[in-house]
Amino acid sequence: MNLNSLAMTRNPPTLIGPIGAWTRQELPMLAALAACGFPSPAEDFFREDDRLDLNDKLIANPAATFLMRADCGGSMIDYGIHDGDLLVVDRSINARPGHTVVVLWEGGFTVKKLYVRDQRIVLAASAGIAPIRVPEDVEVDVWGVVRWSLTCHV
Amino acid sequence: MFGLIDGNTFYVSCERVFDPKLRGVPVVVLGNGDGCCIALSPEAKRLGLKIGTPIFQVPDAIRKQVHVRSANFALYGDLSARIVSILRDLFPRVEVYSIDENFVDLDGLKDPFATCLEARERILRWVGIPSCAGLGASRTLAKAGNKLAKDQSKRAVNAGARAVFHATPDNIDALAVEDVWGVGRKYAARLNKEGVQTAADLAALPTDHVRSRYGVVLARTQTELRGIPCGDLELEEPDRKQIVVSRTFGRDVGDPMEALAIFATVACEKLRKRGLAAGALWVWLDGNPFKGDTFHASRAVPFPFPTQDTAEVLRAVRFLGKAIRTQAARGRRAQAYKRGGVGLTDLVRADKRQTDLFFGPDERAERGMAVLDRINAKWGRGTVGLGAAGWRVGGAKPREARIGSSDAQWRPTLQALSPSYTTKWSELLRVR
Repeated sequence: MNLNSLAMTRNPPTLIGPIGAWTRQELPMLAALAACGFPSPAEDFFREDDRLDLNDKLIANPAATFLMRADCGGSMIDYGIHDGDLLVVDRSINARPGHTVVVLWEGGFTVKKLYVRDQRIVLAASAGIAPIRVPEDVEVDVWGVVRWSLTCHV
Repeated sequence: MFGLIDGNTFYVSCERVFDPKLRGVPVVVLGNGDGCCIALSPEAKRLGLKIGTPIFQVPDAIRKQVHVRSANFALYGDLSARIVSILRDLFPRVEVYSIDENFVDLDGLKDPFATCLEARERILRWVGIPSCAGLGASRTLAKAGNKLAKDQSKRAVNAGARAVFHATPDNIDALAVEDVWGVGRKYAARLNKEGVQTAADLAALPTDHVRSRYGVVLARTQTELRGIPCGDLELEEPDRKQIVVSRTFGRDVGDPMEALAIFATVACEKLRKRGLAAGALWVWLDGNPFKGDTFHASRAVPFPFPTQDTAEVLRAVRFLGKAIRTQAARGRRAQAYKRGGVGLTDLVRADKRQTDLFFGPDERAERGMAVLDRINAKWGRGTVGLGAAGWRVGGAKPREARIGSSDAQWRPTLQALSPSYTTKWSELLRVR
């Protein structure tokens, strides 16, 4: 990727719908309907489809989505990514400034914030860690864009 | 019109998606419990390595230059299913032909070439696998186009439109006759003798001559090369990379296990007939696309030791089939299946299998299989089969011990297996 391709990526790519092959875990919005007595007033509004599916919410494009584990020694904490977080990485999104991205850098995968400063691509991390200013003649290989990061709080 | 889209050196490409160290260097993927090379990157081919070579026969000096990986079929199966789902979105009909090859129906598309190129680019960007596409009026021409696309693009990752080739009867003279789908090495040698060197030469032979000298099968191949599709073409490659048995079910099937068992039984028969043993199994199921059901799932497992034993294959089929159905049951779609298949891959000659201290063929089981085949050959297929043996009530336990410790049967000792990046929570790629 270079600056020109950054400029050209204003239009997000067309996303395909979710595929059936993906597993779904549905959470009923109402745990139980009244079994006797007056019919629940909510019943009229509660249809089969009224389920929340986290996969639908988190995974826009199953074919292009990969899960990864953050293991960055706290270097992304300013951007809300903690060690052990689950990263939902979408390869079908064109990386734009402001995106959190998984990039191939010096032979390994690393998660960074993507910026452009003074016509140069910058890979930023938390305060106190020097951002990488990518030299003009170096291509940045963006593996995917982090759509979600999930922190477990228990 | 047909298209054939397949991944470039698929297993190697899958490994490269998650391991940047492997890009641009010689890579070898080993099958059969780390015995033989089953996939080679172009760089490894240039070192003179061949598919099927046992790794211990490779001189140290060369082995030091190559990166070796054990076949990770869980990873390959997952990436293959992603590719199929991308194709399903772009084409009205997709025919899964093997773990890395898919035929697509191009009829009714405004610009088939552009759509194939779009598919190629999407697969590269979304999944990370470079592929080539061949187009043609018949499957054989599509396959020819695919080969020509591979040649002209040199399998480069960023080949773009050079990775797509529309084959017509007039532009296939660069294709050697032995590379034509359905022409075996034996036929190729005979054809060469009478001056037929290229696909175009074969297409130009008089049909009667081909039929009388080489039989009806090659005559059909020839017809296909002339751009006339032969509908019920036997979709089975003469090469020995894999044995695939798949069918579209007569009706939507709720419980496909019996069908899969029959496919597996037939595949095992073919396997033994050719004197081969399978190192891995691959199973897939499709929903009914005509009812808007784009369900597709595929799963694969390796065997601890290349097997010819129908009972062992059936146990694995049952295990994979169950896993796919559990996955489907959680979704709203694909409660019924329209198509399914079983593939035996990672094939080796049965008599050249390498035993080690812990794993060897189950000779008693395989002698039993030979008897079974003889009975079925004499009194017709399906006279004798495996019932309870492979189909225990409640399902076979994949981790059931047969040799030594528990789960030994399902865990070949693989030295360089990449993590199950896409199928196990504990093995997700860690990002620094």
